[in-house]
Amino acid sequence: MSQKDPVLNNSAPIDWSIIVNSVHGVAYKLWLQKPDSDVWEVLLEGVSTDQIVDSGNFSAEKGTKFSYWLGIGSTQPKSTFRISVVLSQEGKVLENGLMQENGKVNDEGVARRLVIVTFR
Amino acid sequence: MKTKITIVLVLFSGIIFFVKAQENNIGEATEDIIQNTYSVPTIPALEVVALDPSNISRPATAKEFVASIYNGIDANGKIKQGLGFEVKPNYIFNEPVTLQEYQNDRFRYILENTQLSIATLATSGDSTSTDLSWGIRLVLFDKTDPMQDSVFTNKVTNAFLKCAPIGPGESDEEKELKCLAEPVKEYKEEFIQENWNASWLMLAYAGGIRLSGSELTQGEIIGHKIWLAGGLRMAHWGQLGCQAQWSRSLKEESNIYFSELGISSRVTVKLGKPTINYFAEATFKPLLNKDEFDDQPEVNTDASFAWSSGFEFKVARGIWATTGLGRDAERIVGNNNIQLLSGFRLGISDKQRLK
Repeated sequence: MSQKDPVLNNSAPIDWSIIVNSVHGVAYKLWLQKPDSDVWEVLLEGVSTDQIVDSGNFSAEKGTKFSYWLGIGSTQPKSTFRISVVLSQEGKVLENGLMQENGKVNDEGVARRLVIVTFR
Repeated sequence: MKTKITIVLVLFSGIIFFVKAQENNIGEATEDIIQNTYSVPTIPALEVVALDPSNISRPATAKEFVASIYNGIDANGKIKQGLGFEVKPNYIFNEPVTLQEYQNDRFRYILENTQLSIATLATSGDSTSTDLSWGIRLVLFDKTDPMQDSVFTNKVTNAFLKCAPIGPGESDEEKELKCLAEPVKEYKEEFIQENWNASWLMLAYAGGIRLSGSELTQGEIIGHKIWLAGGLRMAHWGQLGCQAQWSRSLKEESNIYFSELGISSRVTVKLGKPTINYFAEATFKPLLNKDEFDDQPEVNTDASFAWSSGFEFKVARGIWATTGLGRDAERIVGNNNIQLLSGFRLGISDKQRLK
């Protein structure tokens, strides 16, 4: 599913979080690309199944690209997954900052999502 | 002579099945070794109304569910025939369960594994009437389920990380999906090898009503069934399975309700490979309403004990061939001989496919 570009409210840091609302394990990798650069920098990679919180923050200006990759898995083929990637500033979710990834894993129990958005 | 020939044929078939079983992937076999009839039905409503399971729809949202119900009733308010739904209540009521809750909160675990089913079918011999059935299935606990083991899920997701692309521009979806599938398969097989005989407990209920003229207000109950089944680990080599089943059902041929209770137990012993088992089963199923058959000498009201024993061989994913000996508790007088068993039974590897 294509996601719309999020709209920044101001220059405050952007908080991100990944919320998994189904019985699936998720691995994720986040990147940022500055407006005047072609290089993707890894922001973080992690998994939803450990004890580490799946949230953090970063700074970005308009024109910065943000990308996430999700690797989703379950032992149940064709099971329905519900995942949200949320971007907010000062406690308020950005316009187009709630990016929902809902779908079904394939016959082997896995799915993958890759999204690139540009902050406006 | 005929019996001897049959025995030879059955044993020969068993050997063929055994050889074929060994050719199968051992890892695949472990997936559904957690099988047998000592479970509860995957779709309880179909135990009362024999609808083809391929006709079952599975709405995943409240909107889809309401649309399914709406489409199940025609313009005259009559219920349509040949419909089947299977739903998870937490999906309908938008009550998602997370993996952490699934692993740590028993109530949320049961909620996630609860399935409701509804089915309709034309009444046998009267196409204007409809049999409507409903059912519920609950998994109280199941230690054979890898997803409730945090060590398993953590191993899988950490292995997923190596599938992520170096950068967003270097992604190859097909390659990544293949990479993601590998740890799921590998760790699942490993988990089931270790936990094939782990303990579990399930409960199910189904009921049915005959709607004269397919009118919702013109109903006659055709039966109720309740199942309680569980498995208990026996060291690393076996499992004790138990099932209690109560039913009150209308028999078409006699138009009489039979009330039966069945209490079964089964020992399954893994014979080295996960593709061959030895089993021994015993079932006690007394007829509860004996008095109602006093004037029917053809009904054997005392037959209440059944047994069987033999071998089962995996012949394909989810399918086991069974061969052995047994005797059923026949309700018709004169049918109480020891019989040869041979046939197939399905595994229950899809028991939680609705997740």
